[in-house]
Amino acid sequence: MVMKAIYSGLKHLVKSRMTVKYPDQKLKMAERFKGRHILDIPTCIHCRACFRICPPKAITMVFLRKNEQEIITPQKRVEETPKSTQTDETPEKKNKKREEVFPQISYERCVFCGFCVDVCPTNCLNMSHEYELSVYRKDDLVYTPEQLSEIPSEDEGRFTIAFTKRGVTHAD
Amino acid sequence: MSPLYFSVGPQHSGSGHLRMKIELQGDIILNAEPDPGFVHRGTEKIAETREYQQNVPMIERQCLPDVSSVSLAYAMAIEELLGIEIPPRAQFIRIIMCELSRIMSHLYWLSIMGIFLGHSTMFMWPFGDRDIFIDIAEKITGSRVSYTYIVPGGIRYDLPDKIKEQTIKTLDYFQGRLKEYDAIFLSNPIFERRTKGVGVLSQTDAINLGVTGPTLRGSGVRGDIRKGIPYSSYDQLDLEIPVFTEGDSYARSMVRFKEMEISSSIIRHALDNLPDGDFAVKTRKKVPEGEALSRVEAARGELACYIMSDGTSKPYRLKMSTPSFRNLPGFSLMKGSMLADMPTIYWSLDYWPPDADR
Amino acid sequence: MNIVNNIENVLNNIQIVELRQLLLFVFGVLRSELFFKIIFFPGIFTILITVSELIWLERKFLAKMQLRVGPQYAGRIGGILQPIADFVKLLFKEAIIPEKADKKFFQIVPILLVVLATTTLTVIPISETAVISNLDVSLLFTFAILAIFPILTLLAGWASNSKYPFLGGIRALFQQVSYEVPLWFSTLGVVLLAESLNFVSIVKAQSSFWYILLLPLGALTFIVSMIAELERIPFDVPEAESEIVMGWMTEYSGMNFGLIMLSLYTKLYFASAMFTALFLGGWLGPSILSPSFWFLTKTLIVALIIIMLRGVLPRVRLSDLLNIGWRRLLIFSLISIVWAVMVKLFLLGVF
Repeated sequence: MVMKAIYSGLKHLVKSRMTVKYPDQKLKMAERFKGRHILDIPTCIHCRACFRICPPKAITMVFLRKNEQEIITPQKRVEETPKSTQTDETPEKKNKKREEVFPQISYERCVFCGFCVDVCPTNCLNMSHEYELSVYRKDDLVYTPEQLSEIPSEDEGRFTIAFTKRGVTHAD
Repeated sequence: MSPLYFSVGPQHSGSGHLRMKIELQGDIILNAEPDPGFVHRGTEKIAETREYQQNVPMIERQCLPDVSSVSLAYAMAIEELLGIEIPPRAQFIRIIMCELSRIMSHLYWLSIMGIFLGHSTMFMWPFGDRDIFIDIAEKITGSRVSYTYIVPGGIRYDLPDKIKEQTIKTLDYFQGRLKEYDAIFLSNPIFERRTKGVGVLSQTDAINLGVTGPTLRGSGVRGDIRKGIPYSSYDQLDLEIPVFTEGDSYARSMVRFKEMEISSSIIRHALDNLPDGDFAVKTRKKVPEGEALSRVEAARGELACYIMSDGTSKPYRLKMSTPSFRNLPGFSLMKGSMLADMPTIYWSLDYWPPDADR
Repeated sequence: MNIVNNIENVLNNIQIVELRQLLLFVFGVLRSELFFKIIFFPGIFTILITVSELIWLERKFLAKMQLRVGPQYAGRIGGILQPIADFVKLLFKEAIIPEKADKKFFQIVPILLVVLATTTLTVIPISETAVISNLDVSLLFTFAILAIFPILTLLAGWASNSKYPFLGGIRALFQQVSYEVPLWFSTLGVVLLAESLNFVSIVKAQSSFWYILLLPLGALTFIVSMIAELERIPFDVPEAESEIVMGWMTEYSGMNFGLIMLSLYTKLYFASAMFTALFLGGWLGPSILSPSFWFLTKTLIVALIIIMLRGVLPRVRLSDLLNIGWRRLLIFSLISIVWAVMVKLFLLGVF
């Protein structure tokens, strides 16, 4: 009956709204949320496991920058990547001393799957709750190891799903 | 009068990413030909250049509302090649994720059905309700829409604490929502008038054309992979299969509606009887030679994954047979119907272009 | 009168002929009450403000029913200036005209739509004296204007020279023509009871009983036919379909589209006002508050009901639409005429 539909529609006028008024109100992410990576530079043992497992090849291994002012262009990235990370390792090379390279992640390609976090043997690569990664230039999407080691500010959202008498809403 | 040829193309508010060539005479459609391929991304070819575990994020993004079923099919094929057995706890959790994905996919279907029929309220409510399920998925897996949770060998993490209470609260709230959907949309006389008797697919035609999923069950054929060839501990849970015999769009819509209720009860049952144990087993990188086929009941129908491996760590050939592509012959139902029936028939088949084009 | 004579004498002494004529004309216009009725109340300003409030009301009401927030940022409270922001935005957009379209007709249709929609409002009285022109046959006048709208939508669809507007224009013609007959017939009952075609007399004749109580079937037929004339959901087959992108409005952009939207909502206001005047007793109400207030409140309530139906019902198919229009509603309206005759003879004869 049409009256049943009208009654159901009118009942919803007194229910609570589900909207989250972003960016004034932000959602609180779950503990396991996979956001931007955090790298702990002293703990990394340069094993390159994260480089080998990354599905879209978003991780490249680079040396730490001595000069902070240098802008990283894609051409420079290719030139400076050490040769040994571009091929599969053969058994003879395993005994050589490892070059001190760190992961550099390009968020153009990263799919936030978290395989690199799972495979890291020393637990130095983790994922934070930061997801607002928009930039004005594409080159800024490449995060060097120094940028990855900065812990994001504690601007956590506070809104989660709450079941109330008047329906479901996002509340503080 | 000569017929009018026009295309309901990829850039159209009524078609998704599909091009349909329609021949119209007056108000009757003489011929409607789908032209798939707009979203082809070359999944199967790219999969040959990556290792087995590296393929999981790409495979699951094939059909985004219904992520778990696709990755489950892929994982099951690899486990068959490796010859390993998954622990029961992982199997039950895989069932829970699959049923959650099924509910989310059917909610997406319901909201687009509303907007195709011109009902703006029915467009907003199911998307709002998807958010509470996405929240549960985020707590379990860490991502909101594309989980990368079911991998060959089991699942990646165990369930977090207190997830059972939240899921039960969500499912109780969802029961009330299903009643509201019924009152405002599915029992609406205008909806019944628009979908009853529209796009009738008889039982013999359904079997001959090879359609799967709710399209098949709406035509009176009792076919469901979860019951016929049980996988991943589905035989330990009692499962109802809704079957309607009319074969029109109304029957197909009611099948999907009833499936949402049944999925809720499966999730509750699985959460109550969750066994303890490991959640994954160790696998090897190099998969032995051979070929394997796995079949899974996704939200849209039967999904089959065929892998042929040649002994290395990368697959030699990956083939996915997706339910949307198998339902393409259903577009011949549009012949002879009115133009207003075109979105009804198109969406009651639940054709999802990225799923069909891979 | 002394001051007026003084000013006229001063103006008549100006030597430059054109300046004198211009100033006399302006002075005459400023002294006339009709001018202010046309511009301010119940004229263009009232219409524009009411129309923008109707747009805002529709968006907020539907948003609340759909569990979300509607416009919220334009204007301090609740996005109340959002329709004005939309019109300003449309002013800045490029009005694209397709290359093979018929330019003259393409551009004249939105203007004509707005002009005709506001013309119908000149005869609807907001209170006993607040009406721009009190014709003897005002009901007939509104129907005459309403009969032109199907031609304009067909012209819009044809002039766009494209497939989707073509389909939409033809469907608009079918729909609007087939719902005009039940519309006229359902008001015949009201005319019989009130014995006049003038809106003011019709409202005055409802001082004992509102006509919605005496003629419920006629009221129902009228409101359903009016929703079909307005091309709103559930009867919006010509526009906003999922098969024909926006129907006959597809190729319009920029201020052309803004003018069409304005005319659609003016027609909504006009439909609610007509329903109030014919069936709900116009401005009659307790005399604590002014009559115009009662009229506008009742109009808003009727508009809210029409808006609510948009949120609750899906779209009807074209074949069902024509079926309802030519069969059921025609029969209902004929029954309501007979009913009105019975009421007049037996019920009202007692009083």
